[in-house]
Amino acid sequence: MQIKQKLTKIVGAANVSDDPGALLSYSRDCSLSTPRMPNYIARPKNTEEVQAVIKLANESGVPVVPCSSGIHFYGNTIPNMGGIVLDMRRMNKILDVDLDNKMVRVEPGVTWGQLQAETAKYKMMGLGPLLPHPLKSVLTSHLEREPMLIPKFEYAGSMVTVEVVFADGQAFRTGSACVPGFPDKSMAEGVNPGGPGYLSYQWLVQGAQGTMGVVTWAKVKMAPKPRIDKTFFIPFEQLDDAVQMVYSIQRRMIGEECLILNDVNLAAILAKKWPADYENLKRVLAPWTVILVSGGGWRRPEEKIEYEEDGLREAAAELHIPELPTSLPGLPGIERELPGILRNAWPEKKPYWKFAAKGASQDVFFYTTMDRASEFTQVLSQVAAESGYCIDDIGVYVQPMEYGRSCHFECSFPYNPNNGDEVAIVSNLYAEAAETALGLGGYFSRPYGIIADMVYERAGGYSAAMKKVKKILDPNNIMSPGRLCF
Amino acid sequence: MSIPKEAYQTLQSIVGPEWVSDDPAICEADRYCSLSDPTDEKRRPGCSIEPSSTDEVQAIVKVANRYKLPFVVTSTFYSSGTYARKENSILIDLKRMNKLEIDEKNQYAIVEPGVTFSALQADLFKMGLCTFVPGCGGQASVVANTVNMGDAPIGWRHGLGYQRLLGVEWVLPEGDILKMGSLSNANDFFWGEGPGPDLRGLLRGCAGHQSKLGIITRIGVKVFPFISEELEPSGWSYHTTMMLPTNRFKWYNIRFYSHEDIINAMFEIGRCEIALVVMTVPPIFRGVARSRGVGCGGFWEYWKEAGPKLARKQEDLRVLLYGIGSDKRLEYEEKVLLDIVKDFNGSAREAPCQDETNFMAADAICANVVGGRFASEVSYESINQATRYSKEVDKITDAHRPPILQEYNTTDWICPYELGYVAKMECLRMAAAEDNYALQEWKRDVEVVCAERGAYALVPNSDVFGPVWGNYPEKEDKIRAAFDPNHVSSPE
Repeated sequence: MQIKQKLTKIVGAANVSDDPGALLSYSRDCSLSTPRMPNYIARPKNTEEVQAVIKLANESGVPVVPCSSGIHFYGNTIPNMGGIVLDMRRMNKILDVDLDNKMVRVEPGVTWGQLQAETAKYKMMGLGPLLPHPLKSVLTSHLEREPMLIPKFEYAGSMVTVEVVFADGQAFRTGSACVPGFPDKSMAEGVNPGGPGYLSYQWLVQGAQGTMGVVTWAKVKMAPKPRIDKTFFIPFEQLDDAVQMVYSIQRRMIGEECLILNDVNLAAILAKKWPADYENLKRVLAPWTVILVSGGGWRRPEEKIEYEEDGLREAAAELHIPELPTSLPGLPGIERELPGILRNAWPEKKPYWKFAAKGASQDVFFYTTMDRASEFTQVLSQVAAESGYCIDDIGVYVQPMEYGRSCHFECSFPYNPNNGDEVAIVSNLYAEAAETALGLGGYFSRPYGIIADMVYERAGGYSAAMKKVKKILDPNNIMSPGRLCF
Repeated sequence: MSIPKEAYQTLQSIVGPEWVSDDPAICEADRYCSLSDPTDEKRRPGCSIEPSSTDEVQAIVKVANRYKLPFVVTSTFYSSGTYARKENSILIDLKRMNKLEIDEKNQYAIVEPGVTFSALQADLFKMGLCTFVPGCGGQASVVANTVNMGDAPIGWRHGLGYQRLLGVEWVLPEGDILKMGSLSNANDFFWGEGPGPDLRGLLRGCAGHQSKLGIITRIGVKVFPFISEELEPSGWSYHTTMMLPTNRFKWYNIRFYSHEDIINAMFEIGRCEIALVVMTVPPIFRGVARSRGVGCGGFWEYWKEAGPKLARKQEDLRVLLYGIGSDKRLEYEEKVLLDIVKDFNGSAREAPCQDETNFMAADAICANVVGGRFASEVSYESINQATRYSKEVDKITDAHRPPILQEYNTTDWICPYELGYVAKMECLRMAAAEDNYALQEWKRDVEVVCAERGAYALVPNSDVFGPVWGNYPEKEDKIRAAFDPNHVSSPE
C-alpha cells in the first residue's frame, strides 16, 4: 500500500492531501526560509491518529513535521526534507480548566483568542506573548518558549506537563501527568513538570521544533485576571534610562505586564488608520516607552494599585523622572483599552501589527541582560544601516523576564515581500545581525534556520549531547529532520 | 583491592599529592554522609581526591574512565545519597571549589559546588538580596541542593530548585564538558534554557540524578530581592533566630476548623498572590519544638501525653507576609490575608516576627530530635493530591502500628510552592532503630497504593512505578548507557 493510502486509512480521505496547491501552502511561511514541498498533509483528530501516522512514518523512513498554528514566522514547519506535514489544527479542544491549580490543558490547535475567551469566563487569563497572531497556537507559543508579557513569579516556565508522541509511536506523558488514570481517575493532577524518574522529558521537547516528538496536549499555567487595571506609559529619550526604570520596578516586584517598546513598534500596535495614524504616532511618541500595567488583585484591588503606584512613584523619584503618564498623546482612552489588547490575540480583522507597515517583517531576537539592551540596539542599527536598511523603520521590543533578571531583546525589520531589493537587503541584514549579536554575547535560546547553524557551531558540547538524546528518542531521524543540528 | 598504582599516580599528578589520599583512615571517614539511609550499604572509597577546578574534575573523570574506576561525588558531606556503593571508588570531594560571584543588578549568583547556602546568603544580605535556605540546612551545597531538590518554604513565592537553575557547567560521565543555557555560547550564566531542546531535562526530573550522570561544576542560580537592613540575630547557638523588621514582615498562625477550609484558604491566598511562605503546621512539629533541650527520651515522654491532645480536628496554617519594596505592601497583604481567614472561618494570631528556618536554617531536620529511625513519604504535586494522598498514607500506617510509633497521624505536612501551582506533601513516620524493617514494609505498601491510585511520588521505586508510568526506566537506561558507557558515574 502506498503512503497516501495508509494515511487515508488512519485519518480519513478528507484529511489527507497530496494536492500540489495544498502542499504549496505548507512549503513556505512568513520567514525568509527556503521553501520546500512536503509530500503529504495529514490532519489527525486525536492522539491515536498521531501515533499511527508517526509509526507509519518511522516504519517507512518518511519525515514527519508537525504544525499547529495557521501561520508560521520562523521556517520551523517547512519540511526541509519533504515527507508528511502533520497539521494538528483539528485537535483544537480546551480539555479542561483546572481552577484550583490555575492551569488549563489545551490541544495544539487551540488559538490564543480561543483560550483567552474561555479563561475569562473564570476570571483568569492565559499567560501570553506580545500580541500573538490570531492564528497562533497557544501550545506552540509555550512549546517554543515565547517570552510572556508578565515578568513575575515563574511565569516564564509556564508549560507544566505534556503528552508527547515519540518516534516509536509511544504516547508518553511527562511529569506527574504520567500516573495511571490521569486526569480523571488519578490523585495527581499533572502539575509537577519533573520526571518521571530523574529526567524531565518536557524540557527535552520544548524548544525542539518538532525534532524530539509531537505534543498532543499541554497543561499550562493561567494567572488570575486583575479586577481593575491602571496603565502607565513612561516616556524616555534613551533606552538606558528606560531600562533603569524597569530594573527599579522589577526589583520592587510590582505590576503585571511590563515591557519597553520603541516608537515604531508602539505606533504599529496602536495605529487604527493606516498609514496616517502610524506616521503621526511615530512623530509624537517618545523614542522609548515603558508600559506597565498595575493590576488590582482579586481582593481590595484599589488598595493594591495604590501601593504599586506609590512604589512606582518612589522608583521614578530615585531616577528623577518627573511624571508617570497614564495616557499617550493623540490616543484618548488607550490606558483603559491597552490591558485588554495585551491580554488577547491580535484582532482577526486587522492586518497583523508586525506586517502592517510593509507587508512582512523579519525579527532577530535573543536573550541578554537588560543593561546591554542599549548596546545591542546601537550595534544592530549600525548593521542595518551598513546593509542599506532604513534604521527609522526598525522596531525594538525589550521584554524583561523574571523580575528583570534578563530580557528578551527583539529587533524587527519590516520589509515589502514583493520588492526583490528589500528582500535581499533584509535577508543579508538578518544573517549579519544574528552573527553580530551572537558574537557580542546575545543568547539565542531558540535558534531558527540559519541562526541554528551559527549557534550549534559555537556550542559543540551541547550539540553533541543533544545528538545523543535525539538518537535515543528518534533513532531513524524522522522527526523534522534538517532542523537544529540534526 | 585498591586503586591501581598507575591510576593513583595520575590522580596525584592532576591535583598534587597533598589533595589525594588512599589512607584507610581518611577513606573510612569519607565513607559516610549525614542524611543517608542508615541501612544502605556504604563502602569505603579507594581514594579521596579534592580537585580545585573544572579542568581537574574533567581530568579525574577521564582517569576513572580509562581505568574503569567508579567515582562518586560530594561537596559538603551534608548530602542524601552520594556515597560509594562499589569497591575502589574514587570519592571526588568538591569542597575546594568554592568560588562565588554575584551579579547584583541582574539578580543571579554563579557558584561552585563547595559554596554553602550560609556563605551565599551572607554575601547576598549585604546587597539587599537573598536566597533560599533549604530544609536540610544552611551548610548544604547550593549546587548540590539546587540540582537535586532545592526545596524551601519561601518557594511559595520564588519556586522550586529547578526554577532557580540558570546556566550550568557539567562534566559528563566520560569527561566531556557540557555548557548549558546562556553559558553554551554567550559565556554567561543569566539564562538556563537551551539552546533549542533544554538539556536541563537530563539534569533532574522530579529530583536530581545524584551524580549518576556526571558532575556539575558551576551553576548560575537566581537570587531574590530582600530588605537592605541587616538582620539581628538573637539567642545562642544552636537555638538562634533572626529578628525580622516588623514594618516589612509579619508571621501569622491561623487555625481552621475544617480541612476543606484550610485547603480553600491556601488556594485563595495563591489567587490573591500574597505572602512569602504558606504551609500547614503538623502538630508533631509543635511537639518537637516544645521538646527542645529534653532529648529523645524527653520528647517521647512529652508526646505520650501531648500527642492525643494535639491530634485535633483543627488544622493550623503558618503564613509569612513580606512587604517587598514597601511597608504599605505589607499592610495590603495583611488585610487580604485577614479577609481570607474570615471568609474561611479561621482565627488568626500574630506570631513573633523572627525566623529560624527560611533565611538561616541552622537547626533543620527536627526529625532527628525524636531519635530512632524515621521514614518519610514525600510528593510534589497539587494541594489536592497532598490531601488525598496523606489520607491514604494515614490508613496504611495504622495497619503497621506497632511497631511504627504512635504519631497520631499528626505529621502530614503540606507546603505549597509557586503560589499554589504545586505543593509538597511530607508524611513522617518513626520507629525504634531495631524496627527499621517496619518502616521499609510501610514504605512498600505506600508505594503500591500510590501506583494503583495514580499518586505521584518523589522518589519512585522503578520496579513498582516503571510499568505504570510509561516505562520511564527504559529511557533512563538508554540515556545512561549513551552518556556513561563505562558505567563509572556513581554506579549502584
